[in-house]
Amino acid sequence: MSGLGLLDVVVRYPGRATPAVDHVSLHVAPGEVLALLGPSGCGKSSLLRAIAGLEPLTGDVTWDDSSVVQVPVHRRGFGLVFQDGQLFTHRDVGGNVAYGLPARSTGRDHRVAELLELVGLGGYERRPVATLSGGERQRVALARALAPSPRLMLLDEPLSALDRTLRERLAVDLRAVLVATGTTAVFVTHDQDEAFAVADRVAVLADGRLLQVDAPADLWRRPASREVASFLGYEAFVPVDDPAAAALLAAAPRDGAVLALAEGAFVVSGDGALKGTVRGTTSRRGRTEVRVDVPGIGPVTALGPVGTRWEAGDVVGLDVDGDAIAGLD
Amino acid sequence: MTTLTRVSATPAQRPVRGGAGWPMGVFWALAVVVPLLFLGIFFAWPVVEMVRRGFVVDGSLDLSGFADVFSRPRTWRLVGLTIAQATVATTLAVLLGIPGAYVLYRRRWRGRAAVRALVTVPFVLPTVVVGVAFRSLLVSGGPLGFLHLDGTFVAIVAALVFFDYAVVVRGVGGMWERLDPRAEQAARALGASPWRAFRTVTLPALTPAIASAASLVFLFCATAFGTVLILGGLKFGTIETEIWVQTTQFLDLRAAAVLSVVQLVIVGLALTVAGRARAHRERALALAEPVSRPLSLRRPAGSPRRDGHGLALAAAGATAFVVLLLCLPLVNLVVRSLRVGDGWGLDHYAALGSTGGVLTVSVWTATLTSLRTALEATVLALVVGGLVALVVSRRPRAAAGRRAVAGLDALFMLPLGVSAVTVGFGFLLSMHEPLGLPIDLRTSGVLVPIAQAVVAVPLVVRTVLPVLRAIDPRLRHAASTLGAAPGRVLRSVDLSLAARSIGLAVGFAFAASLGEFGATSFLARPDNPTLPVLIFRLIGRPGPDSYGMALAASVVLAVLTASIVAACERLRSPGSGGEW
Repeated sequence: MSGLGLLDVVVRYPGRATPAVDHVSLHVAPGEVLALLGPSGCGKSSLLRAIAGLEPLTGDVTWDDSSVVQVPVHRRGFGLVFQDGQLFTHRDVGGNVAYGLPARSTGRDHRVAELLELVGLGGYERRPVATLSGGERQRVALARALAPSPRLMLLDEPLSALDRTLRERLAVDLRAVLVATGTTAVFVTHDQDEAFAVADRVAVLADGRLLQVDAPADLWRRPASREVASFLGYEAFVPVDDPAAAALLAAAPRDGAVLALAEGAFVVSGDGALKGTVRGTTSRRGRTEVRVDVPGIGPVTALGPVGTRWEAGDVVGLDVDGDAIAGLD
Repeated sequence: MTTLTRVSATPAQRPVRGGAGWPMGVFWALAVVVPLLFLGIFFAWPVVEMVRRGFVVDGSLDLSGFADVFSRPRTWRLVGLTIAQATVATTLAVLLGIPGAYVLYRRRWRGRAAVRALVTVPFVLPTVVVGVAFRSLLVSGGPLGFLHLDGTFVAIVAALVFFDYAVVVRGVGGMWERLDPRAEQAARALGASPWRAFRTVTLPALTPAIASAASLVFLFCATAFGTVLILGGLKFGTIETEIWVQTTQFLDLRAAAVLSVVQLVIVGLALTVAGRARAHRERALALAEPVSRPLSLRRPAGSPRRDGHGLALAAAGATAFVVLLLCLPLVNLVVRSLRVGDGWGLDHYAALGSTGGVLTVSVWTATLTSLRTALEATVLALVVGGLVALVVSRRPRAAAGRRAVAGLDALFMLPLGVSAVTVGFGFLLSMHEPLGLPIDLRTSGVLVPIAQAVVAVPLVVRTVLPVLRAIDPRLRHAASTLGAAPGRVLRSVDLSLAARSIGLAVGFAFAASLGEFGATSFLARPDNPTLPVLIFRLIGRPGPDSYGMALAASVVLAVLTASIVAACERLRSPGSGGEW
C-alpha cells in the first residue's frame, strides 16, 4: 500500500479523559488530495499534527508501508502549512521559500523563483514578509512548504483566516497547484464547500472518530449517517413511510429508510405540488431564500425567484429539486 | 497562478535521510548543568559560606547571633530605614512613572526617541556616579545647597527615584504601547469619561506591569549600596550598607550574616510578588501591534472638549518636569567637573592621567581595568544567562518538567536579591583553595569578572527570556517540517529572533559590570582597582583636587556606560523584549 497509511491512530492530551483522535485508520494514495472535514474541536488538527510528528500517538503512521512513527519531524519529508502561515518574519519572502532547500544547492534561486511564480507571486523574492497581505502570506507559506518537494503535504485550515471571496479563489488555485506538482496532500477544513473544491476524497470527523470517507459527490449523494448529513448541511429528515415523503420520492427516488433534505430541496413555484407557510426571507448572492414551514417536514430553506417578496404567514407552492435530497439508511 | 505548465517540480519524493544528527540531549544537559555549576560554585557556595561563618561557632550551630543583633537599636533603625526608603521611593517612582509611560510610549511626538533614551540614562549609570552627582548638587555651595538636603532621607529617596524612574516608565510603557485601545474606546462609547475609562479599564489592564515594575524598583531600592553609602553618611543606610560596615569596619561577621538573612527574606518577598506579576504579564504578552497617537499642545482640530486632551497635557507636563529634574544632577556633574578654583578648565580631566599623588594607579589605567573585566564578565554572563533563558523558555509536556523549568527560572533571579556585598565577601571567605585546589583565586584577580557576571546573569535572563517565550512554537514546527534538524531550528528560529534582545542584554550586562561596586569593592586588588572603586577612594580623600578628579572620573564612567547602552539600545525593536 503505497502512500500514507494510518492504522488505529489515537492521540491523547494529558489531563483529558477522552482522546482527541480516537482509533482512526485511513489511506491516502500517492497524488491524492484528502480533506479532513469536521466541526472545530473534532480532532482534525490533532490528527494532522500527529501525522506531521508534532503530537505523540499510539497506532501507526506509514509511508509506502514503512512506519514513520520513530522518524523525527524534520526527517519525515512531510510539509506543513499553518492557518496563519507562520512565516519567518526575520527573513524576506525568498528567504522563507528557500529555508527548506539544501544550503548550497545549485539552482536554489531558480527553484525559489519557480515556486513563487507557481503561487502567483513571481518577483516577490526580496519583499519583507510584513508587507504582504493575508492571501499573499498564505501563498508564500504554500510555496515554502512545496519547495523541498515533500512526499506529503499537510495543510491545517490554510484558508480559514482569509475573507470569503479570497478563500474561494485560493481554494481553486490550491487544488491546481497540488495537482500540477502531483503532491499527495491532507487538507484540514471545517468548510464543506472548501473540502469539496480542493479534495479528491473527503473524510468526515466528529469527536475524534472517522465517520465516513468518500469522493465529494458520493459523500453528498449518500451520507453514511444523519450526523454526517447534518454536518454537510442537510437540514430536515423525513422517514420514507411518512405521508409527506410521497411527494419527495416522486421527484427523487432514493433508497434508504430516511430522506435527508438540503437547503434548496424546495423551490418556490406558483403551481407547486406542496404548500408551505413563509416564516421569513433572506437574500444570499441575490437569490431569495425563504424559510418555509412544510406540514409533516418542518422548517426548511427554499429558493425563490430573484426579486420576489413575501410576508411572514403567506402560503406558497413548492416544487421539489431532487439533487438536494439524499437517502439515508 | 497562471503558469502551471512551466512547473518542473515533479512529485520527486524527498528521501528520508538516515543517520544520527547532533545529539540534542547532550546539548540540553549541558545547558542545564553549566549554569547550575556556575551558580553553585560562584554564588551559592560563597553565600552559604558567609552565612555559615555567622551561625556556626566551633562546629556547632549557634543562633544567638539573631537575638544579639536584634537587641541592638541600630539594627531596627536600619531595617526600618531600608523599608521606609524603598517604600517611599517606589511609591514616588510609580506615581511619576505612569504618566511618563503614557507620554513616552502611548503618544507620538517629535523628539520622543531622544527623551526615551535620556530617561534611561540614570538607570544604567553606576551607583557610585549617581551618589557623586547628587552629592555635588546638594552640598553647601552646590546649586541646591540652600535646601540643606545633603545627608538627609530626602536626598537618598530622590537619588533612588532618579535611578529607578526608568524601570517604571519602560516596564509599564512597554505594555501600555501594546494594549489594544479598543477596550478603552468601548468604555468611552458606554459613557465613561476619559478619566473614568483610564481608571476602570486601562489601569486594571496595566496592573500586572505596574506591580512587576514596582516590585523591581522596591528590590533595587532595598539593596541599594553605592548611592546610599555616598549620600547617607553616618546617619542613613540600608541593610546592604550595614553589612558592608559590619564586615569591613567592625569585623563583626555574625552581625553581617544575620543581616544577610534578613535582607534575603525581604528580597524574597519582593521577588515572589514580581514573579506572580510577571507570569500574568507574559501570559498577556500577545497584545497588539504597538499603537501611539500623536501628541500636540493644542486640542486637535475637530475633537470636542473634555475628550481627554487636558489629561494628556497634564501627563505631558508632569513628564516634562520629571525629565528636567533628571537632567539637573547630570548637567551639574559635568559643569562642576569643569570648575577649577574660581575659574573653568579641563585641569581635573588632565589629572586623570596621573595618580594625583594619592592613588595607586591613574584613572585611565583603572578605566582600562574596568573595561577589560566588564568584557570578561559580559561574556560569562551571556553564556550562562543565554543558556538559562533558552532552557527556561521551553514548555515541556510533562508537569514535572514544567515545574523544574519554573524552579530554574526562580533560582537564577536570586543573585538580583542577594546582597552583592555578601557575594563579594563570601568570595573572599570561600575562594582560598576552592574545591581543595591548591590555588588562591583571591589574589589572581579572576574573581572580579566572575562576581560581576553573577550580578549580570539575571539581567541577561530577563532581557532575552520574554522574547524567546513570545516565539510561537508553531514557527519551530514549521522549520522542523521543512527539514531543519533541532540544532538548525534553534539557530535559525530562536537565535535569529532573539538576536536583537541578545544585543540589548550585552549592553545591560556590560553596563552593570562596568558600574558594579558592591562585590568589586571587596575583590579588586588594591594595586588594580576598577573605576568605581577608584572614584569611591577619591571622594573619601580631602581636598578640592581629589574631589574634582572624582567628578571628572564620574563623568568618564557615565559617558562610557551611557554610550555602550545607547549603542545596544539601537538594537531594540519597538515593543519587544525585556522589562527594563
